[in-house]
Amino acid sequence: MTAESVPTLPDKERLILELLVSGGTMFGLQLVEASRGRLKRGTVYVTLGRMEEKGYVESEQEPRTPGAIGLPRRLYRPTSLGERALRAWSTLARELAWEGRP
Amino acid sequence: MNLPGTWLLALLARHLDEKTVESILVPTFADLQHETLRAGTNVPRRWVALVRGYAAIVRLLFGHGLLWRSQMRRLIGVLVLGGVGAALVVFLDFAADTRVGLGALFLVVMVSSVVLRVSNAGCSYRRVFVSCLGAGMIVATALCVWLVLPYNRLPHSRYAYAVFFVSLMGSVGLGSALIAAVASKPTAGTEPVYQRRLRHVAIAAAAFAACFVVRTILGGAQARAFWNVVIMPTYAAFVTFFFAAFAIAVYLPVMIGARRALPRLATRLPLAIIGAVLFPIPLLGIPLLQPDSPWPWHFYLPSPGVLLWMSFPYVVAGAVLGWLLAGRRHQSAGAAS
Repeated sequence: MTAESVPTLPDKERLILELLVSGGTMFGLQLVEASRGRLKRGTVYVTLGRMEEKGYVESEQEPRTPGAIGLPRRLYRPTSLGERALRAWSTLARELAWEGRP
Repeated sequence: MNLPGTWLLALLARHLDEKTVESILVPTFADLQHETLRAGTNVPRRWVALVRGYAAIVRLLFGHGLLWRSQMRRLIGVLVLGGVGAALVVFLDFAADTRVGLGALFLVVMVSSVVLRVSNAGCSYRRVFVSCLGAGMIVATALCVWLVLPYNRLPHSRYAYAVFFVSLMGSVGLGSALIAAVASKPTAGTEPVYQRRLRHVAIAAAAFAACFVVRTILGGAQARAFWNVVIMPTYAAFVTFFFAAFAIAVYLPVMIGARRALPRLATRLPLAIIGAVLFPIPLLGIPLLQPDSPWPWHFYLPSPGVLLWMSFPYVVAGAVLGWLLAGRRHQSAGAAS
């Protein structure tokens, strides 16, 4: 595996994965509210779109109820690859923290 | 029910790729609408939702460079060209020089050439040259006749008009050749829907007349309110007729040419912007036709504010015409497939 093909997990993506793994399926706005200011409205969808391209999350339109008005929102959930990436990243972070102890 | 952001989303969707729209824009606008609906009749909460929603959209557009993607870049290019034209108009107000004024006429050449070239023009050299030459000659003739006939009692030499008319024709010929050389391509398209186009021109003319009436009534309300109200209906009818004839002869070929030449830009906003930029330009030609007398110059261009006020109906009418002449990109794409 080359260095370019190693999946990376930036802070925001890790945060989103943590929120999704703990909270299940969520809307973008719910992620923003749950992040307590670490994720911003609007730009959260740029990050989610990038994560969807990487295969970390998947999304679908919210089910429409009769009489519903307004644009349909998107529901996001973690994929198995996303969950594995988060676990691997957490393990790596723990290992590095352990090795870094004096 | 008109939900917030509907128009803006439709506008942005025309200029961004489908994936960006589906994955980024639609959820952002959906949040805006959802929060606004959730606020219900609580006005403060509704305003907070609107402000937060639109702030997110602004952050998305500017902070993440969504505005600089593909089609939007071209749209901004047209906006910049319009800004350059506006700057030239203001500059003309301070530089009372005919040579500088001629630059305004060549602004049309520059704008048309750049826009047509960048946008993969689809007309042959001959067609572009003949169209531009014909349109330019009509503009020059109309302006000269328009000035000579109603104002011939003023102490102006008709010889000066003739000399300027000839020089204007030379400029038109040169400008047409430049546009054709820069913008032409060997292929050409055809789309005659003349009746609809003429109806659109009439609507644009009516928009012009309406703006003209409002502007004149508001502008002269203090001085001659009574007479303004009395003469406005007949004068509005006159300017509507004049503007319709003027637009059919001059602007319609330009707008249709732009629409044909801009297959990807043949959406409402770009053509509306082109129309808004092009339509006020003949205003600049009026002082050029009276080089010996200072009064038209001072009458039409006393200050940037007055000039903007004067050009307001032209901007509106041009924008309306461009908007109406534009086709729907999705429809044309569907028809093509």
